[in-house]
Amino acid sequence: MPGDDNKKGIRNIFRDNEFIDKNKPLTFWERLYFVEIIKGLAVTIRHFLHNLFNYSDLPTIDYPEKKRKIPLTFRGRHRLTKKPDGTPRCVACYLCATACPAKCIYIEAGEYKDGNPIEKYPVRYEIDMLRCVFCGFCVEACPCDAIRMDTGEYDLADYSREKLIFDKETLMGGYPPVVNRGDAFDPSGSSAAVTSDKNGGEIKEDKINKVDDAHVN
Amino acid sequence: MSLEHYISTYVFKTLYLPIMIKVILAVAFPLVVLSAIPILVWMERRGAGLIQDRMGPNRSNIAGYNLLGLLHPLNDAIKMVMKETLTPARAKVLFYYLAPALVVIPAIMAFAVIPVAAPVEIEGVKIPFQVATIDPGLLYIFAISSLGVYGIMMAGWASGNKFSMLGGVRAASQMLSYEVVLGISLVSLFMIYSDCEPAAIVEAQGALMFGFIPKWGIILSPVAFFLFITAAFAECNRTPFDLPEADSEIVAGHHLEYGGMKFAMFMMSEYLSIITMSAIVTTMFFGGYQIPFLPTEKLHYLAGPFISPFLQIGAFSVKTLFFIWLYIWARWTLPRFRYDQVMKLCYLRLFPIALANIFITGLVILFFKL
Repeated sequence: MPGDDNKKGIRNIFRDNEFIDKNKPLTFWERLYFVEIIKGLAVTIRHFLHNLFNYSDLPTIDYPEKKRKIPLTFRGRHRLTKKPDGTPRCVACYLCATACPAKCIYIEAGEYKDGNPIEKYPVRYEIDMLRCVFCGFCVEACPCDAIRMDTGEYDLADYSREKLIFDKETLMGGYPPVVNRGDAFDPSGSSAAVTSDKNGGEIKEDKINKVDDAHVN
Repeated sequence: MSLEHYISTYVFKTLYLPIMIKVILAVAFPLVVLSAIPILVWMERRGAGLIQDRMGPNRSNIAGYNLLGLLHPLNDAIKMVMKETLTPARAKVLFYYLAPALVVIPAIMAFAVIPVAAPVEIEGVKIPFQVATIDPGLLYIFAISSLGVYGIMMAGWASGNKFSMLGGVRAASQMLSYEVVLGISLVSLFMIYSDCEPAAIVEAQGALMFGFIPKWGIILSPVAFFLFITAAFAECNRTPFDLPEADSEIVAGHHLEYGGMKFAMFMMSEYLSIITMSAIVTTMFFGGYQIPFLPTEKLHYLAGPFISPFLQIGAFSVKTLFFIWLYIWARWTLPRFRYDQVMKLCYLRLFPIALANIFITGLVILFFKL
């Protein structure tokens, strides 16, 4: 009885919904070891054959070509949103730079030359991606919805540190707004991976962002 | 036909041609065995992946075709050759560089006496499919393969690293101990077939017992098979007997200080000894090149002298490949033994059983006049 063993202070380990009593003496066949080897070989060859004939069912995702869907709330690489006329929505208020715990945002404010008396604009807006901790405070601090972290990009890598200081132009353009987003924990889906390449492959956009982006982007 | 012409033809057929055939075989055997190594590495990595619910290597490709990961061994080879040659500061330089060669050469040499097909006679010229037909046969294999331990010991000592040293010492004691079991387990087969020349043993295994059971070694002496395969695993330093290179304890053991091509030679010797041991198991216990229920004469009668060697080489390869796979399969199944367990298993379990096996085989042969 497992309960009795516990009273005696004998440790059990819990595995596969059954108690395995480690202090139970081995039977003759277990002591012979040979039968247990055959059992072990049977387990491994079962895995081998199953995976050989159901290769596509393996949980591995071919990473750079295929990516896992990421959650809707995932904080990825930043982007600066634009007004309908293409200028940045940012008014260079420094709230994001102030909120930033990593101090990785650098802003240089300027005035519009065409006489817009109300707003400033960022002459320089740089984020040091190597210092950024992706906490999302800048997004929350922004009063103009000018900075977002909804690109879904997380694989930032380059050969020099300078290239990973993203300037205003990099942050404002060139990338599809929403990539690879969806329910990462979709229980119905056979595989959580979705193809997404930048050259016009299958890119799944979700409805919320589409509607939202209509007036922002 | 003039006499001169007759003599020159006779000399050609009896002297030059056999020598040429031997030379061709002596070159072809090592080449085939060596070129099997990348395939084995691929089998190992890919098999390990599938056993562990992974994909295994599949990234390396040419123009988008990865050939199921077969290009990885090629890339590895290029990488190994290009690597910088480093010599540890405390190494004994001569022995440090000598050791990898001393490990690889015996591993290749041991394959020489293994027959891969029955000899055929085409127009009076006998073509053996065995590099060397020598009477000691398997004793030669034991003699040569035990030389491999010198290379490993030398590597462990000459590296000037205590982990290497431990690996070398472990390898020495383990390989010498299991050598005993390896040899003694086969004695019962030498008694049964009254020969220790591999080709003769394989020919004897082509016969049928009671008219329907092949006279294979595993059927006549199953205990010897289990003893031999256990000792063969230990002899190749493969899991569960991979103590000389136990990663979690002594980093990489005897080849810890080796990099680049020198490391690759240790790797190669490991796979070479796997191939050799698998070939010996096939030869001694599973009828070698014999196709079941199709003895050599019958096959030659049915398929002719040109096709039947290829069929027999195919049969030999399939059997050998199975045992190579068994090595890989077991590696990803069994955990490593403790060192005292390895020694106890050898001297307190396998050795007495092997001796008893010889004794009982002798009694059976004596009383039943087999």
